[in-house]
Amino acid sequence: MSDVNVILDKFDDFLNPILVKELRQTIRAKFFWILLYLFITFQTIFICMAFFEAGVKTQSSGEDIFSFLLTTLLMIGFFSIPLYYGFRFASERMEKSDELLYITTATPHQIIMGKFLAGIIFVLMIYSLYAPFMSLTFFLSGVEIFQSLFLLGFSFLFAAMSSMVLLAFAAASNTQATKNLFRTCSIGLQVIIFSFLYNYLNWYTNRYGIFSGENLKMYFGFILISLFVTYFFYGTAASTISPEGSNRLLWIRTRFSVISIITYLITIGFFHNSEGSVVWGVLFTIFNSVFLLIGVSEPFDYSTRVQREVPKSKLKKYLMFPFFTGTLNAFVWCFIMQIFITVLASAGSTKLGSHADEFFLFIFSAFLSVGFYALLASFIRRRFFSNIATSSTWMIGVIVIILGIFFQTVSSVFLQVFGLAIFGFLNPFYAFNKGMAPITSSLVMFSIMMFLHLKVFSAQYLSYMHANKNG
Amino acid sequence: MIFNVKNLTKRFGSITAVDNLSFHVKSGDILGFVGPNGAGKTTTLRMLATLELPNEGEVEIDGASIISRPEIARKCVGFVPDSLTVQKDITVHEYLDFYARLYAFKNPERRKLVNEIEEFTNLVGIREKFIDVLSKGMKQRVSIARALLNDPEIILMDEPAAGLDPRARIELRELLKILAKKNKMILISSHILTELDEICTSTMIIERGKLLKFGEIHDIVDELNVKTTKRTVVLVPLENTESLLNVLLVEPNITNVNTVGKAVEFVYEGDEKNISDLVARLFAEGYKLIEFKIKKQNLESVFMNITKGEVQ
Repeated sequence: MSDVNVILDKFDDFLNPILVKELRQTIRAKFFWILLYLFITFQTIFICMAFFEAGVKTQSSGEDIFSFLLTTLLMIGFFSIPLYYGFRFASERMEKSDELLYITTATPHQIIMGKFLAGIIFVLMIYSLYAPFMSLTFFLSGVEIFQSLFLLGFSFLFAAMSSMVLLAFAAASNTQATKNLFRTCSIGLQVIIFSFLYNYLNWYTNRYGIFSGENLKMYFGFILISLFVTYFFYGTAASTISPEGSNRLLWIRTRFSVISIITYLITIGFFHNSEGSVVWGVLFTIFNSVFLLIGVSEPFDYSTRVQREVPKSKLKKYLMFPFFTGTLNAFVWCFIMQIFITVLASAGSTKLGSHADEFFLFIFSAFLSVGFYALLASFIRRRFFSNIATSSTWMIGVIVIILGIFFQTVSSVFLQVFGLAIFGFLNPFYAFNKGMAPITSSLVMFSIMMFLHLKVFSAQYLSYMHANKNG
Repeated sequence: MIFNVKNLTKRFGSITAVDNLSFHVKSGDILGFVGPNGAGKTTTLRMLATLELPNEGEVEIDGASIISRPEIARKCVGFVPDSLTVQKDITVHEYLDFYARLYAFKNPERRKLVNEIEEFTNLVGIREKFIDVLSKGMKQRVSIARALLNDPEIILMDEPAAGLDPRARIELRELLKILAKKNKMILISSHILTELDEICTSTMIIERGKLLKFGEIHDIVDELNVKTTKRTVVLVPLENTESLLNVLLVEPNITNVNTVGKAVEFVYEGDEKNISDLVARLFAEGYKLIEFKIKKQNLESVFMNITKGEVQ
């Protein structure tokens, strides 16, 4: 065997198996060739037309063509390819054709990474086809090569982020209903993100040009956000496809904790006013509230696989407790995170003066209110619907929505029919008001639910502390 | 190697798909896993393959739990599902190469391994064909080839013969016999009981998730033969079939009298001595019998006797 073959074999062994399979399938798929030919044809026609049109004589024609072609490229990279891979993975999940992967030595992270890499390599192929057209725009008094490359790289990052978000949605699509739901949600989300990005970038570039001090700050912010989102959804997708009974939330919680600190520091470093801190606080309170809702869907006992991972030393047990899969663990983690978010956000917003205190109370009140609904939904699920064999997260979601509608109706009836405003606290949105009354009512309602869960929570705590005692 | 299953239970909401199942299998055994539709066979096999987590119970390979350490099963268990899910735009060879990569085989061993497996499972002729255009029998063979890639000690097969034509079934049976000779432990669920009868060393019958019988096939059959007082008897007279039929119809302890060609078949309630007396009496009455046999119980009759066809 020649040295070249040995090197090629080594390289082949190094490749992610999922990536190899996905690429093999992609280059045989009709979608690949149709998209390729359409892209080349479209760009050729467009650039030919541009050459012969009067607009070519103007100074900015190259720049105009460049932005138009870049938008087309971004749309393909942001929409078409991620949707193709996302839909394919969703179908695999629904048909359970990916199931046999889990009885090999492949890990969930390896599977997601392989699919993600296949998607972005496809995007890269399309991007590389753009090179000849890009050089033509340069000759048409267009954008500088460095600027073009930067913008291409920038748009590529967003295409990669889109691929990962779609894969994460696809990972959760394990039935026909969830597949359809997540398809709709993911397309909606893509449209929203794309519109926002497109308008924001347009506004900035029109105002400051492609490169300016202001823009660099904006580019840097967007690059960081896209990297964080991609990384976070990568872990979320891998956790979603992890085998039943595994400690699947450990990764998400540890990474999210780190990401929250980094983003806070960046926010504080970048925005020298209180607004950044407030936006960060509200945003992370929303994330944390979502985690709380997911948290109550987690089991009240630990599978043998999770028990095996519980540390043996008492100190490590305490330290790791919030990061383990389990309802009580989720609650502890969310609570610590919320205190952390509230303190940091309030500290960053000191320039708001007395408003900082209001803000502090407001986000905590909202969090406690979500906690009340989450626990009540969990209680109803366990008490009345424990025999229904469906995903707990879905059940909790549906119950929370029903509870929200019910309490809102009750408070409205008391107000409209009996003129009693005192039951306003039952309105789910009451907690989102500023002031002492909303936080007091949220705290009382949350405490009642915690009391109702005292027995199961204490049993879960003891079970965690006794787990893995003998190794 | 010993595969030990203790009190395995799986619930889906209010339905108990597998209820307190316990059994054990050792290397070289071929265990036939039989039960009516919805009995919990697939769920059990999926739990053994670590694709499902049981609510209760334990599954051990040589004393090590694969419930808490599924990675143990990854190395020594091969799973053949009831059908190979659609894989578009990928050839047989690429598919096997993909799984060999997933099992972390490196080149040039991987190339060699895939070629050997293709030869062993007789897939060489179709290695460049796309999987989605293959017949069910061929797909099943690809599925078995995939399950053999990591040279597993334990092979779990869920209805591997379902939908196969007679030739493909015979080929599958031969393949299983070869694997058994290689000292592999095979757990196979099937509805084709006559085939299981031929290849299995032991059997397990389940219904509504509960274990009804477990043991070596001949032991179960013998046990059932001892317990039963009803035996199916076949007599083939040289002539006068009609007359013999009329005699038997009025005999006490005889039911379900039928003619099958020249033979007369009936169910006799009594022990073997009573049947011998009856035959002697028929000889004495001048009937020339050229064949006489008591039908032995087989897996099919055991299955029909034990199960009620209940589903959940």
